[in-house]
Amino acid sequence: MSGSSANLRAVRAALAGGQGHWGRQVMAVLAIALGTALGAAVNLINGAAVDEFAAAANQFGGAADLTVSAGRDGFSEALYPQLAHTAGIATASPVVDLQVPMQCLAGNHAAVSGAQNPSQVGPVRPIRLLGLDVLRAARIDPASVPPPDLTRRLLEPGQALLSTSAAQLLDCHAGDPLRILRGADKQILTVAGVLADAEGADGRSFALLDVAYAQESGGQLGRLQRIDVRLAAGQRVEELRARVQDALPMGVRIGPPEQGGTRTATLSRAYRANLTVLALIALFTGAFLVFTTQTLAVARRRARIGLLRALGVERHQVLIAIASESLQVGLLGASLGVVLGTSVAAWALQRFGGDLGAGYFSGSRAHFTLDLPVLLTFLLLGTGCALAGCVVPAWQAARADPAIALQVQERGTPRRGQAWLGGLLMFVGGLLCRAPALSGLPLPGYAAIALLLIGVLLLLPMLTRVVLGRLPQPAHVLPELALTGLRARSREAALSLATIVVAVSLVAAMLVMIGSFRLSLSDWLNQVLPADIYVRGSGAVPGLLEPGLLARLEAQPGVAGIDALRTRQVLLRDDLPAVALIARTLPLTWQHQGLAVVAGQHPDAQHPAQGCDLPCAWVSEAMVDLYHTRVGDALVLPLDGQPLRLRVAGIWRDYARQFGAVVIDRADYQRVSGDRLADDAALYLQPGTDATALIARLQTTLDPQARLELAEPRTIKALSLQVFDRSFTVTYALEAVALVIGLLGISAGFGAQVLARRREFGVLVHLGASRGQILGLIALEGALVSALGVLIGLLCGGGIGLVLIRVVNRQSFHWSMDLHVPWGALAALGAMMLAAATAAALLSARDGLGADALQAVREDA
Amino acid sequence: MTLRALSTLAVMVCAGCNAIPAMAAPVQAPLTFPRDEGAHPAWKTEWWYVTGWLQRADGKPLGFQVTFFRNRGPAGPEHASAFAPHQLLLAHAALSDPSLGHLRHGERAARSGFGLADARVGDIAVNIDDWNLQRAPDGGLQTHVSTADFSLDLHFQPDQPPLLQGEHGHSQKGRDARAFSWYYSQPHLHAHGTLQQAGQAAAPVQGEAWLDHEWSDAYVSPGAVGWDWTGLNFADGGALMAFRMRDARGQTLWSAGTWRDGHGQQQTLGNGNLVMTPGRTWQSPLTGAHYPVEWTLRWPGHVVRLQPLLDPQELDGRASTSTVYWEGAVRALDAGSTPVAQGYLELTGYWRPLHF
Amino acid sequence: MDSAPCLQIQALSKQYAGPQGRRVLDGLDLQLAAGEYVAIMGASGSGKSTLLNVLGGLLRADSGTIRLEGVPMHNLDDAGLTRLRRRRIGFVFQAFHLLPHLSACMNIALPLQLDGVPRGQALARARALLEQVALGERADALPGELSGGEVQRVAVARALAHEPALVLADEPTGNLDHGIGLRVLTLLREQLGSRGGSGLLVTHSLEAARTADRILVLQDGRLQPWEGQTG
Repeated sequence: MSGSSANLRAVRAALAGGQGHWGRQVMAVLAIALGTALGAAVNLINGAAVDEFAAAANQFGGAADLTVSAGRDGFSEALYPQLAHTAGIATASPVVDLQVPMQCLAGNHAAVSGAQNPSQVGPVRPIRLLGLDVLRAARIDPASVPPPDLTRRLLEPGQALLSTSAAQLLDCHAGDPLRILRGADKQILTVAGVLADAEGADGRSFALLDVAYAQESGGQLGRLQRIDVRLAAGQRVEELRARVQDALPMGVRIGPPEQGGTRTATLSRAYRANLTVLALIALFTGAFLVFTTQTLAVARRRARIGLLRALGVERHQVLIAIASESLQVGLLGASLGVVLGTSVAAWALQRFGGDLGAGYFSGSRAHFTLDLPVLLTFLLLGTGCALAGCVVPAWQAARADPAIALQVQERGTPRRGQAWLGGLLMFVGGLLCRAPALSGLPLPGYAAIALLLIGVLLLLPMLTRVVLGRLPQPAHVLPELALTGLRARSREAALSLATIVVAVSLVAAMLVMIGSFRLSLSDWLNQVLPADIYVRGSGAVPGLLEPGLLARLEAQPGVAGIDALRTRQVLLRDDLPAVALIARTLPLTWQHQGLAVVAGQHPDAQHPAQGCDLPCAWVSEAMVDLYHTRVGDALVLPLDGQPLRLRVAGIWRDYARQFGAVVIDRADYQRVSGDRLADDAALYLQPGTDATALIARLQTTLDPQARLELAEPRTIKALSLQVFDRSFTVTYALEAVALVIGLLGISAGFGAQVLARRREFGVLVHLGASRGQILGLIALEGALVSALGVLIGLLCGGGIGLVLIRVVNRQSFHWSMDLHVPWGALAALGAMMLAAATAAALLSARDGLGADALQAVREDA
Repeated sequence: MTLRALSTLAVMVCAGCNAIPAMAAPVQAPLTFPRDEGAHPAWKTEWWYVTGWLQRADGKPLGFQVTFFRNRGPAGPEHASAFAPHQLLLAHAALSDPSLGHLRHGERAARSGFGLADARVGDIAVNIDDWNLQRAPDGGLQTHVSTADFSLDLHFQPDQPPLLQGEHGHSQKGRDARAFSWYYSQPHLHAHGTLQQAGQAAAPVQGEAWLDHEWSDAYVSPGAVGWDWTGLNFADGGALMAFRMRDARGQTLWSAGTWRDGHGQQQTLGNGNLVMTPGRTWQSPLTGAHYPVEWTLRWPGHVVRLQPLLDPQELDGRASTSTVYWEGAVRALDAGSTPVAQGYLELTGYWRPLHF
Repeated sequence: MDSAPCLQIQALSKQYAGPQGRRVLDGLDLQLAAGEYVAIMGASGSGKSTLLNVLGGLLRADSGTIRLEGVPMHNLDDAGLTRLRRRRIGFVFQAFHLLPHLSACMNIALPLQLDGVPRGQALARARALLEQVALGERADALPGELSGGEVQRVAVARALAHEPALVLADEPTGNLDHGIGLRVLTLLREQLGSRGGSGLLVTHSLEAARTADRILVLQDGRLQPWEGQTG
């Protein structure tokens, strides 16, 4: 045993020597570390975000056996006694659950400075407003309710308890006045206390009120968002669930308590899956870099391996020696990566929150936990990648006949079978693009991307050879030397440029996708924001604009027309978030483009929709994907417990709601519901009216107390694009890392080649080549290889971008977008990559051009 | 009368509820029944409290208590939500079974509304979910309570008129004239029903009980840290209610009671002619508190010694309501150690002083 | 007086770095007349390679002077040395060192091209040289397609392509069969002679050395006439 390990050490020592060996190992370690770090970080952040979701959903009701819910709008409180009296139900606990903007009035600063300046107010933040009957909630789960000395204060009017995290977000302390911002309403509560995490807050952000005062403060009189249910002993869950579901009004569901969380988590699931896949691609790039370095290292050491084999070292010993070297690289890199990833995740969570700035979880704060299984997985994944990267070259090296290996250089042409396989994989990838999403995730799309990438990599040697062969013979000596040299080493060149191809593909694909998305979004915003001024209450609570207020708005001088919007949430399926029902004035008299119709009829005044035996409805693309709604279909929506029957007249594009929206005429809505309120209103001005001036006038004259948000479309558009850009910030980080890995690949490839070719450079020196000429030669070769890599990468990236747009995004977010190729950005990417890769090649070459280049000339070949 | 509920509710609801009010108490017409058996929502606190001794078929004795409290909630009439805590209700049930060696108890709390919890005006009918104490169809009373450990269904039939405490039901609690309650008792309630204990079949029980009904705006006089109270059904038909308010040194601040002998002759007892002397103490292994579980009571012409059915009848509510007190079944022995009465004894403020 | 000497070396010393650095060249003197062809022999490690590197302008001596055609090499900077190498010095190596991916013709043209000679001119000159080494018909062959002797003939042609004043040949026959080696050496000598160039042949083989005008032995850092030399 010790003998064999001594052997291994001897073999490894014999293999390990040589100039630049450690440099390359460091680079391989770095590549694996970066890939692993990225994957681990994204995964940890996602995990924390999901935990946050689940925890938030389970807060005050996690121990419930069942939960009755109906989306954001909730349901009538009359259900509460009905449920409480249902046989088999031991306790029913009513819950009001809203997102409401809040603001602390006498914040931290005022207290510190000692000045009781009421103008010193904290930031406005949307916070979860939870209304509980603590006496009931305690019977569902005593542990979920804060201690008696805090909860007893809740029963007093005007008192709120803040979670620690909410208090931090709002910059609020016990005793501070807390303003609930809800449209024209101004409610001032007192922060009765701050719940420590140990008291049930656990890092989540919420303001806890008594259910009665939550109804009053949240404009929810008579309504509840949820009822948590605890079953009587011996009651079977499924039996009760079925029995109660039958008795519930339409649109109200009874289900396990997590389901609310699941629905919310689904919101960001596609986004999170996207990030994870990107991170895995980065890891894959890293693995490929290890493959490249190992292949080159093994090729470089062929002679030495042949010598060892000739000296009697067994084939498997060589294999084990190389594998153990890779294992070391992998373990070291993966450990570094896991540590790095953990710190990055902790930092990013602190800095950007669980959605990395995408804005999915407003007002909540995910907190970081060390997830050992995740870390272990990535440790193994990183190590595995390094091992996988060395398997093929190690096997080839060990298999080689010692006599042949001892000869100077292996020459070979790309194997035809490899190119065929590459083509086949790309073809299969193309087929996969036609497959539907699996359990809501575009997994076939991701597989298609992977196949496309691997296919291109397999085709790479052939592509390199063909392209280099077709290039015209240059007249100048250095380009000629570079080209002829590269042609002769096209396999090595293909290896060097592979990492560049992977990195550039990934980044180009993201650029194409994001560019297309951003332009589509911008077009869409122009289309759906045709009015001059938009009015909304400053809260997420519905029912803000009353008919009287709307009439007064319309009567303002300069206002030509008004389009009031009422948005309701209807739950169509247990496992999906609610669908938005939007009631607005139809046909669109004022705005011809207010709806981005992509199929069916336009809700146009000149050409009224035909064939609607029922009220006409326009559904968003997500409805088509999620509910298979088609033009001409009948659609039944549960509205206040009543079925609302509609006929689908058209399909429109909606970038605002991932889970579907239905637009109907406001008159139809009012007839059914009797609800005359509006969430938003769009004002159309008479020609020559100054929107900015009108906004200023409205804010001062209409109702100084009303906290109406008045905005011009350009402000909304700018804000929307800002949010969009923020949500893609993290993808830029992922892209940057992939590019760095790509550069490391070029650098490693050239470093290895320069070492292998130092004799050639030595001869050139003897022949009178200056150092500058040799560096120029290397730079030229680097530029040529990178140009090829960038070119192939851009093409491949374009293809992947198309898959992202047409397949992945469509299946993830259910919205279509038009292809816009960001030529400028792609050109910049190409140029930057070209310059960086050339520089990397040069830098790595410098080390190879020392005195030993001369020595190599003297060496016996 | 029972005061423990006050402490519980005080912790749950509001610290100032039981302090001496600045405003005058609501007007109370002379007590009439059944009207005054119902709720008095204008008053801050109110309770219906049934205690008693039960016997199982095998003759083994049990103690029980069922209590409903009503407390005026902090929400004024301007709060329009149907959930607004205008009235808060709390219920308590406990069982003293010597064969178990400790108390079994459970509780319910809810705001009034939606028919799920209510204390009706006009006649006795108070409930929290399925727990209730109400008029039985035959004119008697009935109660149902169920906890994780036991479920109790009892029917009560009075065979005596109500015993008005203090002056026609106006029961003074201290030297301050504003510290008083309206208070009547219904001794010698014949009780029968069923008791189901965890792991056992439902078993018929029967015995004798005592109802206290009391409502007040200001109950406790300043300086009191706790009280000792007892209500006893005498075998000869007599009934005694006695209580004393204790200060921090254990001295009596105020004592009062009512004695109605077997012939219906009623005598109001007060500071001077009622002496309550604590005897043997028992230390709770859970809380470490020392409770005087044996007492000597003296009033003109009478001396009785109180002995507990079992020592460990401490109610440890630290996990839920942060209150700890001793509440248990006792028997009264005369000078010759002959049992002459059965009833309940309540000892509060021995773990920590009660805070208001 | 004869024409100025091609190469004039005086008191050349070179010590390798480090505390135990060996003094490989220790006050070495050498004078090489124009057109003279000298062989240097010496044991392994006697400093032959160091001497060649110093003479080729690839390594700097610690002290001493070297004049090539009267130009003091020891004063030149790197660029000057490179220029000198490009125009006045040619190399022939034991391992041939033709660039494997370039044809015979292009290998010969390479030093000319590196010096800025236009491609067409350089190739024409290379073809002419190939004719002179009797490989005119193999001009487009890759080195891998040539025999060892042919390769070394191409290497000789490459060393002469830019009409150097001095050709440094480092064991040029080491990898060749005996007969072929001698033929290559004769070719080198002939070609040098026809151009009036000088040659410095480093070799282990006495037989190879005998093709030279005189034979020197490098020992203890100095050159001494070979004992067995006649005349």
